[in-house]
Amino acid sequence: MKQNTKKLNSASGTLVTIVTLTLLPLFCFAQSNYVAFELLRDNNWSTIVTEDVNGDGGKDIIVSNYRPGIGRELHIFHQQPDGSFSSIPQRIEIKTEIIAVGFADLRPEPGMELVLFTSSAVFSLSTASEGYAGNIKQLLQWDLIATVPDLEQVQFIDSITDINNDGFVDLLLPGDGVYGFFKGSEHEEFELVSRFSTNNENLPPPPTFDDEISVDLSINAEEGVVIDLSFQAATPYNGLVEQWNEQASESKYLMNNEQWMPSAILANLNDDDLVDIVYLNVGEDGLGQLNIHYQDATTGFNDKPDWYGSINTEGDLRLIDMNQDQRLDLLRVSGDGKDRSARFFINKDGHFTLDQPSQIMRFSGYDVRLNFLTSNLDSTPVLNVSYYTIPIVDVIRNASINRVQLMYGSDKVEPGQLFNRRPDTAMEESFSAADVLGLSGEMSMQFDVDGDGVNDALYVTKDGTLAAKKIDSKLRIADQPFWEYISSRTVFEFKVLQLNTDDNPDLMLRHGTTTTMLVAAP
Amino acid sequence: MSCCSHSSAFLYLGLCLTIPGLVAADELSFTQQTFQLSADVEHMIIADTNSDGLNDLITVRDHVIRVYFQDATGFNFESGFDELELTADAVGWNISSAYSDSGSASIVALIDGTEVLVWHIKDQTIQPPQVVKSGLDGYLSKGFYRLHFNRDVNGDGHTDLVIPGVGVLNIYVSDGDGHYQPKLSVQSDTRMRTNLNSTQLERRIGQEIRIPLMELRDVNSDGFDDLISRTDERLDVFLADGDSKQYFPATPSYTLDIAEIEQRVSYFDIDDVDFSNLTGLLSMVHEEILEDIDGDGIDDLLLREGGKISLYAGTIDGMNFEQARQVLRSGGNVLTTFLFDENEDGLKDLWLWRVESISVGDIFVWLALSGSIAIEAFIYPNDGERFARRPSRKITVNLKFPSAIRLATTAFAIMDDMKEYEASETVQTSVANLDRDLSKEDLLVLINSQLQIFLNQIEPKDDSIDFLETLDYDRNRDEYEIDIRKAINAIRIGGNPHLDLIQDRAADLSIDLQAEVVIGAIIPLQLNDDGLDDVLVFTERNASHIKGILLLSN
Repeated sequence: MKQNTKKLNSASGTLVTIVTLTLLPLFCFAQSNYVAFELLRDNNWSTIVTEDVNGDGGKDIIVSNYRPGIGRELHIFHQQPDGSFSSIPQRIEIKTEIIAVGFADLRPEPGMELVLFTSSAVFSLSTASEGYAGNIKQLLQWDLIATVPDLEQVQFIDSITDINNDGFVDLLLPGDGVYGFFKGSEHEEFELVSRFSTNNENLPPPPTFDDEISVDLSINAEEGVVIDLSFQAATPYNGLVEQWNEQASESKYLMNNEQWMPSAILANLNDDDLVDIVYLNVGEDGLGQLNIHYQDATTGFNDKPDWYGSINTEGDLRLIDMNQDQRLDLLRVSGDGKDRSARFFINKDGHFTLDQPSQIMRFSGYDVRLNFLTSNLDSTPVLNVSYYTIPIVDVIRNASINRVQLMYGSDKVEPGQLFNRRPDTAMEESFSAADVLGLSGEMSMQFDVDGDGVNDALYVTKDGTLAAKKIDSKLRIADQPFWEYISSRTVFEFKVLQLNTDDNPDLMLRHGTTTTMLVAAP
Repeated sequence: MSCCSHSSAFLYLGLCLTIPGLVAADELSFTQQTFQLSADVEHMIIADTNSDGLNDLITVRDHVIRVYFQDATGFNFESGFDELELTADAVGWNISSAYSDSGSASIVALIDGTEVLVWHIKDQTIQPPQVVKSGLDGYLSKGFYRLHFNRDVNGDGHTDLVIPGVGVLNIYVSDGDGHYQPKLSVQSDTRMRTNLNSTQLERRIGQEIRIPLMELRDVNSDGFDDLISRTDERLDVFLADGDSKQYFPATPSYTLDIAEIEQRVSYFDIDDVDFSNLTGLLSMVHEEILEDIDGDGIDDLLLREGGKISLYAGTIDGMNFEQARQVLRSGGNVLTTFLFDENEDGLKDLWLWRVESISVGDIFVWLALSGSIAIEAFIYPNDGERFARRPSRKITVNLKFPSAIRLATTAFAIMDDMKEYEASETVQTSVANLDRDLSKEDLLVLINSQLQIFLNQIEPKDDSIDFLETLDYDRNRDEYEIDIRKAINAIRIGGNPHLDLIQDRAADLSIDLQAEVVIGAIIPLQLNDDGLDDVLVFTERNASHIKGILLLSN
């Protein structure tokens, strides 16, 4: 351990520990040196943003902070040249009117500016200048779907990007029943070029109340406890009519209001290089409807979907690139109990054949999760499936459950299908009550921990540490880890990040009450 | 403001027919009127706005409030209305009779959080606005919300104002002659859910806001309602002074710092968790109960921090926090406490519920195998000043449950059954009082473009709940069991229970709606002055309009 400093930032109640440490690698290939930064916050599980706000090439840590009497602030811990972070954060006051904050490179000065969203306008603010006066600039006016700020939490908007590939940041903003697409240009100027609604405008407004399920519970000598369930579907008239009565109308709430709409997702769907928009709503047949607006470089997006199709929405739907062609496909996982089915709908020329999945795979287990990877050998698609089994014998004998990892290659696929019918490799781990810490995080094969260009299997060990195993070209997961990070606190969640301009992967580790950032040191 | 200025909102009104009752329901007779509303109508409120004894229909869409007036012949939806369009800085609206000499309902609006205006209605005309109060310290940046901001806070018969501010509710108490006492700010426990990011198809973007009103009741038994404000951070009690010019004090009469308790008791680090006793986490739970315990009519405070229970005595002037009247400590894993008179002596006794230790191993086993947990209630009798140091009675509830796998499987099966009913259930029903026999309610069924009426089918519901009803509690029994498996097996899923009542029965009256019912609903309400329910039948709501038929009882 090269250095170890601890500082209590008393004003904010944020404890940061800066540690530069050397890990003992189990293999010589593993990254061995990290600069560790530990962040203690009142709500450790709230959002942590990493952006380079000062343009020095190192991403800084940005968190929301609330102090009674002061209000909301952004705390920015600037990354230092050696990979450590400033122990005392830069503080940015968040004015009462601000509902959300995003980040975008809008001004010629290096680094990201803050993008501030109020109920009716969007502003930019540089963190390089002190305060708002002479700094804040209104970018555009837009009635945001959210109208009231949370006075203790800052909402972060994370999807601010160059949508039309013209080199300037654009904005896709949810508004009062519509989305607006604002094309950005020089000098922080924005032009509203498209508007569209993600609600089906051929249908009446969706009910503001959910279906009513009434439960009648009764106890009698003959039948014991009897539960009667009855169901009344919500209609478009729920809550529409009120017989006014001054005494009775003394509501429990001063205000009770909600407004929601299907979220528009930016996704690469067709063969051009422009991202498109996809969302799910209800069709006129009462079933789910998948809608796509293709982007036009000049006009943006049409006000009506260019393509739509009826889809069964039972289970979980996810847009993900399954065949590694850089176009998003559609996955639906459904089923009851331990019987789960995964249906793969492959993107064909920017749309889907929703009544005919390309492949259906069935699994028997609980908490079935699918991850789509590329082969370490030839970059062909690979499917990783994980789930839990609960064998009664094991439960009775030693109170344990099993976690299964299956790897499916694509070298023996049948025509029109994506993955081999049978798994190429399978790994089963047993967890007893003593190993419960190992269940806190799923094994992930999305990250290349040692930066050798090959993804590794990163997981939380049964001791609550973080470790990585090699995956070989035959999709076998090694028995032993080649790398382990032993922290004094249990790891519950991890993420691999790029926090600076080197190619070495960096890590964010969530513990119970703190978060550790590990920046790889040369 | 002008009549017919936005006639597109109510596009059409037609037909006025009298439908006489038939045979068994020969006293029933309705005047039938069709209507068509603009699809963007968000609220329909029934209220008498012009003191003629007949309820009118108020519709709200965006910033436009329209009043359709009822006269002896019913409604004239084509031209019998007036409307007002509020400016964009109007952030809230409400209906109130507080500002009208005749007691009729007026339209009130909060403008820019700083001014309250009222629009009275005379005959069939909305009058120019009058200022109720300006210079308010409110904050709502944008929107047009239903705000229940007119309320008699101190029970003096005068309507006061409760205005949402930045993290607070600002209360302006009226003295009844148009003047208001200085603002009182109390903490607001605003509940909010906002999502502006999504990469998931099934997640929605938007916001939900709930601002609860504060609790008003007489805490110190002086005959005046006091104000209780409870948030995650603090419990504030403002004791009223009914004889003072300032009804509530500017600062709380007493405060419990819940944030401090939370910090002291509820600090949680999973690295410190004992996995062999997960229920030990209950030691981090705290409860605050403000009730009269010693029988003097003044609320006392029972504070539970894990297994430590402290009793603080309330006084006419506040709460004696200097010295707890009693401190009880319980071992084991305390689940909860509540107050209930167990020995029927008129004093509330302390019920302290404990649960046995549960380990991670137990949970793993319960995933696959059925199990049980013993929950025990210890009852500490109240002697009129404090609770007995030892419990006088112990109740045991044995909670038996099937394996988690079976529970999950059963839950999926129940959801499937419910979905089947959802898909098949298309018949709308409702309950109303249409005839003079008020001892039983009448059932209305919308089917095949007919409104079918079955008179006196519904027995009044007994809404009373017995103490610990789900346990079938008896003072003379100490052992109880709840068997979740049995309860699940006994679950009966029914569609619409009202339809079971009328199987194979002929309706007392069938009214042909002479309209196709696309998406229907039946809303009983009282429109005219005959004391009986009238009926609003919606027949269609699509992207352009809302159609329906109004049945006014004759």
